Amino acid sequence: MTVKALPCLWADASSGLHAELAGPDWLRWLLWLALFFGLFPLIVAYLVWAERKVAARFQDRIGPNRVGPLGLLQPIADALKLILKEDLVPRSADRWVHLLAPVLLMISAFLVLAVIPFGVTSTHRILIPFGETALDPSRLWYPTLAAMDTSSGLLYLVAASSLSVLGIFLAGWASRNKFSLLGAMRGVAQLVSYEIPQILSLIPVILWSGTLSLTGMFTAQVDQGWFLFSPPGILAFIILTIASVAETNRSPFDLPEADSEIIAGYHTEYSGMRFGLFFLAEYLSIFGIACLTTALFLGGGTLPGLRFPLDSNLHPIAANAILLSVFALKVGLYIFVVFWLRATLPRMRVDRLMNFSWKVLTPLSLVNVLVASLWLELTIRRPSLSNLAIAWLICTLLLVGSVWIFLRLTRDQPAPRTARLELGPWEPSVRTSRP
Amino acid sequence: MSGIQSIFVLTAFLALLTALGTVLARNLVHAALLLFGFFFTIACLYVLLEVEFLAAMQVLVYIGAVSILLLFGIMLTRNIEGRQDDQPSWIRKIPAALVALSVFGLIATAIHQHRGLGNKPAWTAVNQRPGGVNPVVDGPNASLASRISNMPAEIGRELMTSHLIAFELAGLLLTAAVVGAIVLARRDRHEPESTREEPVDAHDPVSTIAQS
Repeated sequence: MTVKALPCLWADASSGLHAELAGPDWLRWLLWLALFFGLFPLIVAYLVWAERKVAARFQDRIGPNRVGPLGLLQPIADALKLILKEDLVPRSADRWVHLLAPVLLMISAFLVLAVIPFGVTSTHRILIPFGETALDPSRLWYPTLAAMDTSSGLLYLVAASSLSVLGIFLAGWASRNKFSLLGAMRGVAQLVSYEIPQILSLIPVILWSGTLSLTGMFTAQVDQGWFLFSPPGILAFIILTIASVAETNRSPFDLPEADSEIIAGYHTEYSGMRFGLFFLAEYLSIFGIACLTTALFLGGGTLPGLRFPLDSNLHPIAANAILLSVFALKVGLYIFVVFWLRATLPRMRVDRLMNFSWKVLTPLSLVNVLVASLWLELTIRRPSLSNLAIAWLICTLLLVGSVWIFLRLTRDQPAPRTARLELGPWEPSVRTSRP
Repeated sequence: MSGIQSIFVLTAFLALLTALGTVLARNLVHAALLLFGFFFTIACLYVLLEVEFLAAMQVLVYIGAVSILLLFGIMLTRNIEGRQDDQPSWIRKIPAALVALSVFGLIATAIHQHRGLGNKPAWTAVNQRPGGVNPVVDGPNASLASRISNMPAEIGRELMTSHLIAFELAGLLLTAAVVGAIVLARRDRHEPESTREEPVDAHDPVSTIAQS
């Protein structure tokens, strides 16, 4: 963490009761800027390295191992190569829009990270919630270590991530290349479709925490346990993961840049560092989604069922060391799962991609909102052990039933799977007749 | 002029520039882009006025949704580049300028009248609040905490109580629009067989076998 290098940032609050991270505003903003433009791009560069290594392991290869030990300097070599490459813009391309498109994608990926609560500035409940005047100590929030916190934080996050659609569309249009335009069209259709289940799967979290602020969600998870630990929470987490992978255009949802069909989709006509920006934006948004999911469903930096670093008299630096490393661990695991998905699953078909979003994920997340409100009434508003057991039973039954129904309903259309089932009885006879 | 005020003036100037660019640009996509720039600067102004909820909504609705719709509309038109020979004549420019000026005059007088009302609070109140995060108990800015409203909750409460009918009607209208769009886009089932084109799905063994 960069703040460690500057002990002047760490001072006691004027009340003198609890140790708290404090410092002049300009220093806080300077450190966040350093974090955003120094550390995050570095993390992203090493995510690329990690993905190459992980993918190599899955394919029984070694992966990058030439530049530095374990190929650790590979990202730096790649960045240097990309910067030194000739900056090519097609003659018929729209020069300024061509330049603007990757920048828009980058901005979108960076803005998302601004509201993520990474740690805490104090281990005690001292923050006054938005719109509150009565100071009931149990309703106060833990002050989180986020670049900013607004009363409409989650909405801001959704708005910032929706900017990427525009970037992809403009990249495809400005290139004046039919493959680029095809990729952009696919990308826009996919992003607009998967945005809906993505946003709907966030609603249970808003319901349970009663706020849009990510700091409030962090506090709610400290009080109620991780939001993952409930049937609607698990389903919302899964839907959010699937929709987020689709939003980042990664395999199995990489149709917009399907290299075997349309060269490289919307970034076909980009080379050098402009292509590098697309690459950076993709991995940055994976990182952002991993951070978002960790903050919303995996309890941020807290340990499962344990309050420990919070409410203790540990110095904020020590508490943050614990919280940040747990946070980093969760983010790392999540990103590994995303890499794993890419290394394992083949690309989806276009019609199935759309059907999956509109006929499975969207209705499922709508049902999940209802079940989540049931969960809210049964367990969060009336906490007791018997209610918890009943709620687990009812919610699990409802959700498993609806998942089964929606998967069943989409399967009934003529698709290869049913075809194979119909042809099934023939197969043995064909095989036995073979010599 | 304080720092925030000068940033406000700069953003407002940028908003005016992008608005002008939208009107003057020949290329339709450029005009659309400048329009999104205008939307974005308006969102920036909202942030400077400390209504983050409206800013987020502005970006989500206008840039995230309307812009894509607008660009798709532009892609379907033929003359994106804008030819030199169809310069609008003065006969068309003068009424347009008149309409624009009278709309501006109407809004300006309305705002001026509203501001002049005796029982309304002045619009120039200075409302200080700490930037970034909300204040802590007993902290230096604790007395300002009550001024930070929970805007999403307030708007939600208003929509669900005093403006419920309007809210529900808007929902009904949008649903009707979606249903109408589906009806328009859907292929007619009762079309005669000969005119109906049946796409052969290569990945679909059942229909492929059935047709062969």
